[in-house]
Amino acid sequence: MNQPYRINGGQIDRSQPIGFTFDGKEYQGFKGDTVASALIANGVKLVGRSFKYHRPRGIFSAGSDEPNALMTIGEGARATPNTRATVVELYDGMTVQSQNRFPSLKFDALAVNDLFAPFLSAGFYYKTFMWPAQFWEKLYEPMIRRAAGLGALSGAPDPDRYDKGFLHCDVLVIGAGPAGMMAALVAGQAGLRVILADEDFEMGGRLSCEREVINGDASLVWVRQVSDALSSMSNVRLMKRTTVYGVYDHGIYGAVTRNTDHLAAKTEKPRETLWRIYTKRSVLAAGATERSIAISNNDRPGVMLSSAVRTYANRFGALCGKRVVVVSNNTDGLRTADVVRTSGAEVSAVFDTRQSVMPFDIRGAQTVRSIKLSDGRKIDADCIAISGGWNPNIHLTCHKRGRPLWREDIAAFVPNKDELPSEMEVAGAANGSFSTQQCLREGAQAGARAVQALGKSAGAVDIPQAGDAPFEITPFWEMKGVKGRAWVDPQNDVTVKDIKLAAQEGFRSVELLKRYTTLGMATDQGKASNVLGLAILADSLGQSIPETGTTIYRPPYTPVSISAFAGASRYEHFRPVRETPSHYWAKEQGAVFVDAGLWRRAQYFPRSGETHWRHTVDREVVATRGSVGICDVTTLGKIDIQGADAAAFLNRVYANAMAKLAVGKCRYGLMLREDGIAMDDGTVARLSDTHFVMTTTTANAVGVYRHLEFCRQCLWPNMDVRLISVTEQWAQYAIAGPNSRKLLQKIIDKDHDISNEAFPYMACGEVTVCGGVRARLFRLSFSGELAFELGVPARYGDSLIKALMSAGEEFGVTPYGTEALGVMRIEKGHAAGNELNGQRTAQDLSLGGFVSKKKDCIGKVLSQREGLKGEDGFRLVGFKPVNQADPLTAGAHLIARGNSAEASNDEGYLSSVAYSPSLRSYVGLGFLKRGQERIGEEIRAVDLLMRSDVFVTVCSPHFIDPEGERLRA
Amino acid sequence: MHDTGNRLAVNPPLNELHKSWPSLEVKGLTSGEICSLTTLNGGVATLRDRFHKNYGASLPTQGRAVSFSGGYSFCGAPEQWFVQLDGENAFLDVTLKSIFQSNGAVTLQTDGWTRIAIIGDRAPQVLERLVAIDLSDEAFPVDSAARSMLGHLNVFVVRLANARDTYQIWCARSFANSLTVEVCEAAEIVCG
Repeated sequence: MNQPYRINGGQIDRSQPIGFTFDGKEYQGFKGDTVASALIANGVKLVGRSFKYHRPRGIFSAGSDEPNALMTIGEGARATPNTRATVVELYDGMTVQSQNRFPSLKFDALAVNDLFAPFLSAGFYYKTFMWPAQFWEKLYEPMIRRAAGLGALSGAPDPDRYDKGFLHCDVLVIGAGPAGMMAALVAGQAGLRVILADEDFEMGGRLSCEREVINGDASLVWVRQVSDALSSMSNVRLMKRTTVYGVYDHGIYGAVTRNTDHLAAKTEKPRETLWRIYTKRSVLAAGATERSIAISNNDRPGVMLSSAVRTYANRFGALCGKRVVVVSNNTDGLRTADVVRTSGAEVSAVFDTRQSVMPFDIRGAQTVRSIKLSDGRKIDADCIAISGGWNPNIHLTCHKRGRPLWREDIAAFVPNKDELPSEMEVAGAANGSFSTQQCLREGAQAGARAVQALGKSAGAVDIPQAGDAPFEITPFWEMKGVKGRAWVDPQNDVTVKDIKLAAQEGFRSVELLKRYTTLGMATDQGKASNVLGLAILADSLGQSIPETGTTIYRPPYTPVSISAFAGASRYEHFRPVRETPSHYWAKEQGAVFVDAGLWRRAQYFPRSGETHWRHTVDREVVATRGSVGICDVTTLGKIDIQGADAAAFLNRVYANAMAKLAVGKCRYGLMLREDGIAMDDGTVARLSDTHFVMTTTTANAVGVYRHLEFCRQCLWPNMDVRLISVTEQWAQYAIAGPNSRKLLQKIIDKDHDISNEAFPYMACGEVTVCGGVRARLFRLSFSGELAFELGVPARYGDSLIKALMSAGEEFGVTPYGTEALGVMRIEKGHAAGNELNGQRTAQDLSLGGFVSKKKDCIGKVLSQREGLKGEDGFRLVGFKPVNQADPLTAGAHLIARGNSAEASNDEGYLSSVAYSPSLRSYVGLGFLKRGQERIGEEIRAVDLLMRSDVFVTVCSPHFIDPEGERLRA
Repeated sequence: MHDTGNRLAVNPPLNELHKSWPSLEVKGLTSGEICSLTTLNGGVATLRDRFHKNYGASLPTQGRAVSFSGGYSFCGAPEQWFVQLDGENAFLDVTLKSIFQSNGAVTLQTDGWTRIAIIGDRAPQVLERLVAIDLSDEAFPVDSAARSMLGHLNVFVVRLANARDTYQIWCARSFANSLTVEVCEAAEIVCG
């Protein structure tokens, strides 16, 4: 297949031809090509359309700074939009599509925008789309988004796998050019653990792109030798295709490795790996990025960075044009002219702005055709190679708020050594040292400094001999004197005129300029345009660049896919799941599960014929209250507390007294926060003089444990008390209902007496079950029924539930889930999460009497604050609908009869409601001002959200068995 | 052994987890009993003495583990250790209490944890996908233990002397399946 712009040389493998398509047309490249180099070799100039004006755009650079050649790579679900063609390795069968054009790249209907350019200047949408206001979201924004912008996602689930990992090293070297390779070599030879990372798929950095000589040989010989040496060191890890995208605290660097994007056959291997690299020292040797000069119509396809023209010729064997005009304000331009000439193309003209400037305009439409000089002469050209100088890649030095410094001699910002991340050295072009010799020397020095900083000594290092010509530049930012738009940021269609207009309109801060004009945004983050835009702003304001200031950079250096950040945490693995020992048994029973934090809890157990969850829950409640039900309560927090001071410790953390709790007894406990608000409730069981087990709510298990450890370690470090969570150790089941004792008597070994006399309400103790399995039995009741909680080591949890169900067959035992549990606790008037919501005091919960007056406890003093202790505050009471058929809704606000439903008349709210199958009516718990004094009063429960307005009667929260006879039976 | 002859079957998590790849094996560990041991009454010296007398090894210092005949131990927090003893004994806490008496708070923990062993030359590569621990011989030598996050899971990673390149991951039992998914996914990525 013909590749008309392919020339000899380069590092591509001509023995491996590669076929690919661009916008449906077939082309050929070679292994080692990027998409961009292959397109150039095939003579493709037009590769995209601009963001706003839909102007034709061509390949501009040869690296990750590319603003124009953004493409969609791949097809179907794997199609990846906005990919820079300059960094994508070509593989056989690759499908490449241009973006942001309709109906085709050559004929883009939206190119009509360019005709309206005078109306679409910087910030035009702020000025234009002012009214009517509601049109912004409904019309203007969708319209602008459709017309402008980048590629589109497929919308299909990403079929690839993504990965994350952690790496540790002594020295992280960022960039595998001459400076980076020398730094890695020095550190590696000193025996340090070194990571050398580079975003390219080949080592060498600019050496791969230039005709440099090192130690008398082509520089690539040196690159190969050092690569081989580094590869042979077990303490050095070479990471190609890896972009270090961010610097974070404590020597942590973010990096992403592209594992499979260069492979034709997609494997099961992860497409990308996101690395968190922990390093003691780092060497930033990220090189520099060339910048352009603002020239009239400098966005035509064929206008390129001068260094890119050399890269495509030297590295990829591809000519960017056959008649090339070189424009440069520095010594680099002449190198390009030399490469072009020796590659067999014609240098039509060289404009060295350090000597003289003849203004010109770039002519052409979908490709450069010529330049027209201000004196009227025309020079034919199909490529304009521009060098406006080099910007050191200082981005990572700014990620911890380092502000770069302006260096006049190279007309560029360099890292501020006083504001670098503490572990970082900068070497080579990233430091503003542009000759190869300087890069090699600085790389070795930075490596040696890193070695010394880690207390080792670097061996003697031979610095290779290489070119050391000085870099000379005379700043020249904008070619004035010719009409026509000159582009500063081609990715965002920001022109010189836009910047001047912004300055004129008062956007004089560089930060404001960026946001007003969008200069330096999007995928390239202004790598090629920021400094140029800044210089033009400074010129407009009549001040120097340092006076004007600069924006600084934040992560990521180049775009990182969201998938890489997600890694394997997708779909059902988005977050971990906690399962109780009887989870699979419950699943077999057809349980419907609910997420309770990370726990998956059985919510209810539907049976055939039950068409609504309420049918199931009603059945479970009736069965439990009528005979016996079993609920898995393993998820409740369980904390083992031991020590001579354990009782005193509990006495301080609970509002109610715990010190005198007898061995073999349980007690309800209410815990307050330091600010006097109720924190959590639960029970404490005393197993021996020095051994307690605390239960907490499922939701607060971790929080309570953390609170207790804080108390133990920080508040009372001298107390002899130890804590450990045993939530996971014990599988625990609530067995509730009038037949619960009978059922348990079939399970608990005969030598344990659990009669009411021997094991009364709130008793606890160690027992054995099923022939010797150790267990703990607590006579606790959340349901209000005669009930027990039986715990066994979790290994027996699954078989215990089966044994209980089997033993309970004769009583019609019913498993019940969290819904029935909730209904029964509301019927009984027990507070739970809805009531312990971080806003209510013990008094509000009608538990004011629990706050012992005889002892101190956490939260006691502040619970007495004015405003918390008043008698007219909220109190937990019960509610029944006046009309028994009326449903109640949780969250309904309580309004006195005759008052209108507005905030000023709000007297409280319903916190929990349930349909009570026992009472055949809805019942509710809630907080009402002076609630306990208003028993019997009829008020309104108004829920404007649910459109509900119901009369309710204030009542005791204890709907079932208010005397507690059942649970003491 | 107090529970011989009981009628309840034992169902430890990960009972059937045993997968292998070239140079890598991942398997659930289900045997042995575990207790937490902490000092009481300021009796750390006594605790150490008694431990040494009974197991012929010193209680490990922070970040360290120790193997001894019939088990191993690692330090989980200041003055807190996990002790794993071979064999089945659901009353191990009772046994240990009799040894350490009032100087040690002992809590049975066997059922609180799920354990996965990652064995083989590629174990460090798998672990570097999972935990932010520096696994080099210098930073995490044999007989080391560290607490870490693994995905969203809080785990212990233990490297023991009895087998080079064998790592144990301890995680709360309820997370057994999530842990398995994480470890096997990483193993598949590295070795698959």
